[in-house]
Amino acid sequence: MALVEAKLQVGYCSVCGHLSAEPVCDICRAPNRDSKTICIVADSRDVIALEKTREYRGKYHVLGGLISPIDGIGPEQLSIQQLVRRVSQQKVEEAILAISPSVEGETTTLYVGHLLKPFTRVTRIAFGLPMGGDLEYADEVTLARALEGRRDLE
Amino acid sequence: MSRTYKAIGINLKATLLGEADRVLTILTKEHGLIRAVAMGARKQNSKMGGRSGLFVVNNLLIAQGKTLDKITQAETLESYPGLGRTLKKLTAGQYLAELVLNQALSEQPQEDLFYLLNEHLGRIERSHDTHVLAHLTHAIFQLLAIAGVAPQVHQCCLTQALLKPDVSDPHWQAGFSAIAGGAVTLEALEHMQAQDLLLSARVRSTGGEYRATLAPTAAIAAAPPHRSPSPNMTINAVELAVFQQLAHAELSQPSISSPVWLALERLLRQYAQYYFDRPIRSAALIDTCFAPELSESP
Ligand SMILES: [Zn+2]
Repeated sequence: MALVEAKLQVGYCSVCGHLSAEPVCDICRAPNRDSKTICIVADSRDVIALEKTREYRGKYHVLGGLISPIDGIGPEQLSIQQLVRRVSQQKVEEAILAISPSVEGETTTLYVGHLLKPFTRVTRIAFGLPMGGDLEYADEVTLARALEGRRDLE
Repeated sequence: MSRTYKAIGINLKATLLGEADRVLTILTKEHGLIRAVAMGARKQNSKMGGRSGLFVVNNLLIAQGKTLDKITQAETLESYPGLGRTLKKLTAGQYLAELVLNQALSEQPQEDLFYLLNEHLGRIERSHDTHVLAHLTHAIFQLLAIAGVAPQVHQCCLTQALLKPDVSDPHWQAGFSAIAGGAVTLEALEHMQAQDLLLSARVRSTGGEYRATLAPTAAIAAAPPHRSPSPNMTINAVELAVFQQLAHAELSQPSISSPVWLALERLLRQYAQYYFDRPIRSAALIDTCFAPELSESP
């Protein structure tokens, strides 16, 4: 509820779609952030969560939801065209897809990834077991996903 | 005092509830379609997180509630992780889920439908990506068949004449009409188009409602787009020959060219939308994802 009200008052950044009081948000305006890397998320709340890590120094693109065919939400209802334009026209070296691992999230990830691949390197964040959680307590679906996303030990 | 019941079911739809919960629509073997809350499913450490995902099959223990039932235990039996490997497979899976949501019944066993859906999801999961559309089309036909509304494709729906597609003749054609119930001879199709008004009036009269005064334009305008009786379509010999094989449990020619499967999927989609009287929303993504330019790349 609070977020809905904030959206009504605040509005969106015209570049990345993140919540912003100004026409262009703080992150997009920050000169010290790397504009060659764009992290693609479904929702502004995901930007806030990723910003809390203080790990990421690139820019963002907020899609405004996930592709959900059953609910009638198609690619055209999200800001995918704007994203493709942004990536194809700017010198973006990496597009990181940071979208939740649900069926809708996977659909969105694969769809967007497919469109961006001709223009840049496309990566996706890893999903697996929560930190501090015991393997034996993880559910089967999460464990199967973590196994599928395994990688070589460096 | 809440009562509990057991069920084996596959998650077909999830909607968000409050801050941390999900409401799942589940096709169960024992009780058909049910809706139940997966409490805390969106919390990072919840065991229900993965188990409440779409296409996950769980052995469930459910507590009956006043308004909504609540999942108290879930043990995953299958989750089709391979569907997530390609966009085509994911889209096909969601299409089938939507179709099943349209046809499944509640408060009665749906064991056959449950097994049929799982069988076809498994086939799509294991399929080569170029055969996904073939497997999807086959699955749609089989789902319509189990609902008792598969289109008639061996005989003309209007004249009952046997339809024998001549695949050596590139000009051979038959008609296809959702309102007539499937394939028709080309002559019957032309006759039908000429008498569009008469036919739609006849169909309405069998539904117990005769409104012959309705002008044809008004009839078409009044029908929602997915229900409009037109356009009736033509179908070539190869398409009809493949169509006639779809009733078999095994798919005999998955490697036949994709335009044929695209054409058959369109016909079945129009047909299913007509019969269930609602649009298949997932189909829009099928158009995008199986469009020639996208399907050529990996
Ligand atoms: Zn911005």
